[in-house]
Amino acid sequence: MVCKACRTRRDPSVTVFPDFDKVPLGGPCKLLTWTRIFALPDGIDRPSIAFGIVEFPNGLRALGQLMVDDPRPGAALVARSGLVRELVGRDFYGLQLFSA
Amino acid sequence: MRQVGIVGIGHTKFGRMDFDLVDILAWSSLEAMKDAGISGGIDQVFVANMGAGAINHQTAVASALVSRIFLEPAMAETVENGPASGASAVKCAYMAIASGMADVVLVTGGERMREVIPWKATDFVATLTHPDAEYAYGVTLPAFGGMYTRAYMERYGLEERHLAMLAVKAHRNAERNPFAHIEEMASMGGIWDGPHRDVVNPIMADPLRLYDMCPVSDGAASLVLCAMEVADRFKKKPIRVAGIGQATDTHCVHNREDILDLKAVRLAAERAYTMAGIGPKDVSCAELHDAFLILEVAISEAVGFFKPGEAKLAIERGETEIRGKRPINTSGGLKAKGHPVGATGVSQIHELVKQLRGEAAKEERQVKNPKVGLAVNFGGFGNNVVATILAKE
Repeated sequence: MVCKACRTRRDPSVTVFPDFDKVPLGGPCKLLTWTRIFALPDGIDRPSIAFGIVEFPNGLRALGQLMVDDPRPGAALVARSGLVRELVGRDFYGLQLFSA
Repeated sequence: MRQVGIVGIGHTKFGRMDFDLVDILAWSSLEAMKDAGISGGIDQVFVANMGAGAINHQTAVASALVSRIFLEPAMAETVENGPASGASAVKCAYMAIASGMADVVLVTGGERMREVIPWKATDFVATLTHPDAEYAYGVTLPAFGGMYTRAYMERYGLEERHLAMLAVKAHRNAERNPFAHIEEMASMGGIWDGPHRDVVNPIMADPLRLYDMCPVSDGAASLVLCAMEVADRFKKKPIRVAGIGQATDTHCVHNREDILDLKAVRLAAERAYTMAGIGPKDVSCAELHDAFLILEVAISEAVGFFKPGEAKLAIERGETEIRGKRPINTSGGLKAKGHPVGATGVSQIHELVKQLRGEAAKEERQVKNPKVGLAVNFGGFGNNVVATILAKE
């Protein structure tokens, strides 16, 4: 979400601030930083999980699950929507980050 | 506004405590009152706690504490501000006394996090992140620590060995602190350049290793604060609360203009310095919120001790050791003393009072002739930060 007046970036708040532009996130992006964790929360059915913060060409940034084996800061990635976490009775969809 | 001082301190050992949360709070509260030389006369109680409702299935712990130690009819509130709950409770106590609403206030911070299995404790802390843009992905606070560390290393050339050096320092200080969770020394040979590094010190949130992170702890810490004008009622001389500053930043880390800029730390410290009428060069010792060791590095720069990227030079020169020019985390820090989240901010102040009174000498970790102490309690991943400055009168 981006404020129509001052271009401030915030994350989902449509019900509170209707004066924000919805900017769809996805497609080409650049990896700013990343990590891989081995102590996993509930709802992640993998031995480890990696996260990255990426920047899109329009300047917006987002957190996503990193689906790359050998990530490097500055790497060109592609963000797509996918199932990121399965909790009992609730699935979460979000950005997954793949090699470009 | 009235001046405020600290006249009593109490602390339980941090670690695993198989006792009721309110008993844990009660023990440190009674220690603080004993240290102040009182058995009652408390006008207000603030309890700092983050997880009682979520992990101990208990709410309204401040009311429970007052009744457990016979302090009725004192006013009582629980303060929850994530991992900065402790310093926020101290701030509330300051405001209550400075405003004239109370003369004597008990602040107790405590947590019983080891009642649940580790991933549940990690998950409960992760609920402070943005529910849709962060938490839904399965991200944890160690994951943010890992991402921050990698970005910092890329920009400033910090190496993993610098963090290992900080871990060794933290364990050495904690080994002399009777309240610390971790009682074992660590060596560079054991955790960094030895043959079994990846077994002893495995990667947990790449590039952060096990020894770069705080443990999950139970425990409590307490303070008795009073108006300086009534300080002569108490056994110990007051340590004055000279400045408090607080600032917030965006909930989502990725929405910050510069993900490495700890803006809330910087502003909180500036506000505290202004209130105290001092600058970073006047600080004798500091307790900085090192839940991940990178935070000791980054916070020490954000509060003005070192220029950006230069804290690593201070580590190499030993400046942040107890006998160094700029002692940091003489208690062992969150890293080795432990991190019962609600207790942490109060425990940091406890350590500064001990240093300013000269009482750390008997534990062989006394800073030489300290006059001013700074504590930084870091909530969220830097989105709500409280800085507190204490001064010896």
